[in-house]
Amino acid sequence: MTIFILSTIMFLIPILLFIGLIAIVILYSCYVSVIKNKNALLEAKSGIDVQFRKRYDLIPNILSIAKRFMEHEKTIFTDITELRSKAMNAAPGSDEQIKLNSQMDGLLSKLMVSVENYPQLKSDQTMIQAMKTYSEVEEHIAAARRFYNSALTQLRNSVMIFPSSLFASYAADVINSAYYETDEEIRKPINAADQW
Amino acid sequence: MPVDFSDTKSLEEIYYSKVLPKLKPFEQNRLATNRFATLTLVIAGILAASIFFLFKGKVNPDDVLALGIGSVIIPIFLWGIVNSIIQGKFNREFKSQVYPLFFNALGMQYRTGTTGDIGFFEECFKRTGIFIRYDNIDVDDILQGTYKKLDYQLLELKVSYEQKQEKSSNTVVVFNGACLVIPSNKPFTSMTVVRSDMLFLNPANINDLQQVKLEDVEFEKMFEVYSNDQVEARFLLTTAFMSRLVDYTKEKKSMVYVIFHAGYIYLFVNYANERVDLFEFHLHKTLYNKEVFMNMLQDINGILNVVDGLKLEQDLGL
Repeated sequence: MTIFILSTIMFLIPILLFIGLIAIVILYSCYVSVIKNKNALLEAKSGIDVQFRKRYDLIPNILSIAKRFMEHEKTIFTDITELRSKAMNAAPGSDEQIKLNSQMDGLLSKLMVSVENYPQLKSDQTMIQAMKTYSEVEEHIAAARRFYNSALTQLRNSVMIFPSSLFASYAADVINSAYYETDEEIRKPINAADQW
Repeated sequence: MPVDFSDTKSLEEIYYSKVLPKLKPFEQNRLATNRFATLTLVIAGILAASIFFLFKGKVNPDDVLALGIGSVIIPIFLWGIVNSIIQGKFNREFKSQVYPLFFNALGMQYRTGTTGDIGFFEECFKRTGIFIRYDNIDVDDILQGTYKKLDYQLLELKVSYEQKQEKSSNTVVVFNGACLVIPSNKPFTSMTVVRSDMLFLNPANINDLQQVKLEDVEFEKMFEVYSNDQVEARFLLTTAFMSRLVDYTKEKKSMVYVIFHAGYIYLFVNYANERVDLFEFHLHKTLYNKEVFMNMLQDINGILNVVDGLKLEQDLGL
């Protein structure tokens, strides 16, 4: 009887060790995946900040060109300048920075539509170049936001599904970050007539 | 000046004025090549029969069948080799001397592929992993021109590998089509690769390129994207561009692979199954046939239509 028990144990030990090893490998890969996804999210977040910086650098150039022609838009210039300086001082990736940049999105779009009302400005070569660069910067911001949203989805998926969910606490500080969504104000169609 | 592919009359005039007067020696050469092929085939047949009857009485009765097969196969094999060398030489001469006349008159430049072109694609495939398995790259013909104000280079490309079986091997064609190289209307510095979805075989990384997960579900089902810059990949692959790529692929029923590199877009357009070679002509058909050239232009136009399909000619930011 003792021999039977011993031989059963001897038979089961390698199997249990093997199963344990597999479990450790699976758990470790889940841990790695959660950490990787968290880092990807942080990378995406800093990517947005990099793109915002490009926008902050471009704004003074656009405003200085536009000011020469657009005499009746002083309020927009002041608002944009104020928002820019506030956004530059806001903590990177903070809700405040996101909110200020969303407001800036709306004001810059308004400014670009207003340019249409100034044919001289519209045909100015420096303004054409500045608008092209502005459009590229805005597309980069949109791309960075898409990357961020995708990274956030991937992280949320990974920490909601077992066994990766066991490591959810490692991503607790970022898991509740909000998705970037287009501001309601920007979604509204712009009426060119309102610009007069 | 860009070619107007719909202006058949002008295209035919170019054929009549530039190409036709130069065709006479080539047509004579073609007829001579065909005559030589027929004559050598007859000789090969006589040789096969002679070998068979000469050795028939000297071999074991059980080996007569093997002798019969061998005496036919060997001369035919030799005939095939000799004729493929002669026809290949004729083919190269015709392409290098006649095609440039025709394409130059249309404002395009034609040349045949070199080892340098193959080297370029070897490096490109190695870095991008766009085709996983291949051991042979053929770059036959190269055309340069302007289409809707876009300078392009069109390279005819065949990528394949040898699949070894127990006693034989067969060639598996991975890609048979054209690579269209055009400058991008968006500035970028990274490398982004769009290739077909290999399902569970998709690697997480290819060299220094990381997988890019995009939000378009239909696009994700058909393609896989790799890039060394996640933001720039999304800057290039806008939702509109992804949707156009899906629509184009569905409409043409053939896969399109895309590489964004060093300010250029490389579009790999697979030919529809029935197409074998864009710049090929048939030795058994007369060269005094404008349709050879007109069909070639229509096929080139068909490949260039990818520019319209993906709206790459418009400065809309892809």
